[in-house]
Amino acid sequence: MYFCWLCKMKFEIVELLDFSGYKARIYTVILNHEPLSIFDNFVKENIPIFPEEIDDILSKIETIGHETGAREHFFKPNEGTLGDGICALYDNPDNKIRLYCIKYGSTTGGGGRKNVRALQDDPKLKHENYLLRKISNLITKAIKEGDISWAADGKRLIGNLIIQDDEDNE
Amino acid sequence: MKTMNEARKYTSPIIQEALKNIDPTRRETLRRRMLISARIDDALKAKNWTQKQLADAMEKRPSEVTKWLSGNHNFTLESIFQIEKHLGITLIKVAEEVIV
Repeated sequence: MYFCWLCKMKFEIVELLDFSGYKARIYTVILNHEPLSIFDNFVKENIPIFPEEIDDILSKIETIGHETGAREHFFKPNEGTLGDGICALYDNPDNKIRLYCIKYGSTTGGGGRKNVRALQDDPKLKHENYLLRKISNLITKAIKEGDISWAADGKRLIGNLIIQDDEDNE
Repeated sequence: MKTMNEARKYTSPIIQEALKNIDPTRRETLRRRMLISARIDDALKAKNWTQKQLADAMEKRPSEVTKWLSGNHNFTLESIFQIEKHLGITLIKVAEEVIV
């Protein structure tokens, strides 16, 4: 699945039932009424090639949701641009894939193979990273405009969780 | 009037199948590593210490502490003991009951 950067975008923020828990709510997004979320696509693309790494990522997100919360030290910060909240779940240096996240509470995103010298050298990883940057910008804008906010418990997103990019990017 | 919906709860056969097939030992190993990391983090906060202060106290590089806290690290008993000593906490308690 590839995404057109200049095209207008619509997505729905959904809560990942299998991972969300008392300690952290875990969200992903479904783009443009596609049948799968970006997290599904990440798992589907990588599980045949890197099953153990996917096992580790899923186990970690389960533990974050139910037992530890989304603590700063589990995430490699500053994987996007300044202030956009994009980080990556820490992995072992010899791992081949990476999951990018936006950490408000914790929104899981997509990722890809990490066979890179730099992000710019890997089109797939760059694509996923830039997709998340755009999603982050739109969520931040919705929060600033009051369309999305935090529930009283500070853990749940509430509001209009279907977000439409209404800026003219052409 | 702003909409105040909660997010739709979502799962999929892809995620459920992947979760069902996780090797239980691998899952539990990751879980325990993360719980140890979280306990170290709690102890740092309780002492009002930064990761760098712990690294300095233990004569380690800060990157070593970052690795411990990542949730991926396979701790040795030696490093667990050293962390316990410097933070004044217990990370692993060995059971004392008689095994029959």
